[in-house]
Amino acid sequence: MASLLATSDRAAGGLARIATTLGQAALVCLGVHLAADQLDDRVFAGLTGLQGLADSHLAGSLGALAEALGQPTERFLFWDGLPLAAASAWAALAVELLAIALLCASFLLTSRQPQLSWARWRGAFSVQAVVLPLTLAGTLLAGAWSLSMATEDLLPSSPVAPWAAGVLALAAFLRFGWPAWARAVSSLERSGRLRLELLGALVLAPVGLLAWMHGLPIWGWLP
Amino acid sequence: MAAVRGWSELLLMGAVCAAAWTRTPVGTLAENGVALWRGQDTEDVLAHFSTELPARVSASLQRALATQTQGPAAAELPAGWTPALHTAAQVHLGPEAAAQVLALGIADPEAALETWAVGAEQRQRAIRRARAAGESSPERLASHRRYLPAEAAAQAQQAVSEVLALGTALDLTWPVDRGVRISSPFGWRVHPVLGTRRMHEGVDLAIPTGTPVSAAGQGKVLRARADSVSGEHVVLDHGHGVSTNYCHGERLHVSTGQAVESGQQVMDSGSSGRSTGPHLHFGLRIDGRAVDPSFFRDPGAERDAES
Repeated sequence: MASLLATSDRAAGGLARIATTLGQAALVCLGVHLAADQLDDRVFAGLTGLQGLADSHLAGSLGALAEALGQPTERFLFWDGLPLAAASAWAALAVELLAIALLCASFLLTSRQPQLSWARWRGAFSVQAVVLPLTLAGTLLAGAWSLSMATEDLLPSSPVAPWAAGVLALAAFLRFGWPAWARAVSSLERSGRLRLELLGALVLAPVGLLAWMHGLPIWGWLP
Repeated sequence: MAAVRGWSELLLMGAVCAAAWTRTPVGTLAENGVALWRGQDTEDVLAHFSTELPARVSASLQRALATQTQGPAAAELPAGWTPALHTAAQVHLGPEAAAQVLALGIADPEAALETWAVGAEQRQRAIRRARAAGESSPERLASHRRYLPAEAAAQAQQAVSEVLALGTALDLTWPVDRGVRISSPFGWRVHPVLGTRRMHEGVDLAIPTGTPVSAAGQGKVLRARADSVSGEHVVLDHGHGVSTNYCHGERLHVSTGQAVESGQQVMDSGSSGRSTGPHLHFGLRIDGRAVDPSFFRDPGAERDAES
């Protein structure tokens, strides 16, 4: 029986590489979405603010434009028919997919073994070297919490359920999250392409910030 | 222990992937890819974000107005509930479901509707998570929605937003005397100034210049100013996606950002902007869609009688 278990486990262990890769990518997806789900609200608030600004300067001209186009003037003047919520959601989805691609690429497209070193990080110091580790850490932790919530929702209600879900989340973070982070940070290099790094930071920074702000179940307990 | 390491890693990967599949847009996109390949219906990927009200609200408005008189008196309802809100729940969720919502005995309509939709335990769990994440007002659905499972979040959103929007619309009154003649009804018409066929997204009420125009419901002034088309006009936000607008006034009595009570005078009527004579253009919008406000003048009446 024990040898059968050991044999089948070796077979399962043969899939370790693909299991780790999938687990890491899925953990990133969970974490990034927890942040992006906040991002669409922020985009919506921004668009509504812009709408208010345009409203105070352009409403009269838009009314005339509506008439010229044969549209009901109300539709142009009162704005609320604009699909701002949908536009915000599409924008958040685009950022989410881009962030997932960038974060996953940072640890999947490298052959380097995780070897964390302060000196190496200082040598690679750049915009990317600051934004990427922080964003990846925030999203991986948020992903672990998201996994914990999903598990708790599935388990029968009991005082043990949150703890069991927490243990699973911790295991996922230690097995998938930490190695992914270590690998990504180990492979940081000074690229010298500041514009590209700033573009990447433009996508990653809001996701990372929101992941840290809303993806960790700790802020409510702090004074 | 070493003998199960491979299996435990596979199981852990399965758990993370299953969670990502059910809780993220990436999972839905993957699911949609499989569905397209099999020729099946796809799911809305924006459901992971969207808070927009579906169109069902406007569609059930007329039904709600027809049944408005059959609702219970305010005294028979729990504190926090209005007859209009109860009618909205009856029409939108069905009489049985509305009775179940009331039987919960929860005074806050939003909490009652959400509890009915997702269950008390799931709601409390989401509130606990929102509180732990440091969200402000964690007990509001808008704050803890993202900590519910996707399906439960959609159910809660539908029950709460749609019923509250409908209830808010049903609570509105008429901005002038109910007996005032509708000189131009809601719908397609030949524009009196431009002479071309246009959709008229409101009703024109024949009132002389200087007639007091009051707010159809309590809310906040989104806009109070003049332009060349609507003249002196006011837009009120009543919350839950419901807004009303009042155009072609002579003098405004409110300013942008001000809170108004139901029945409070917002303007004197006039003929400013693109207008052929003194009248009030009164419009109602629910979640951005124009709705015929004449339904509200005489609930249950045939609106064709006006045109």
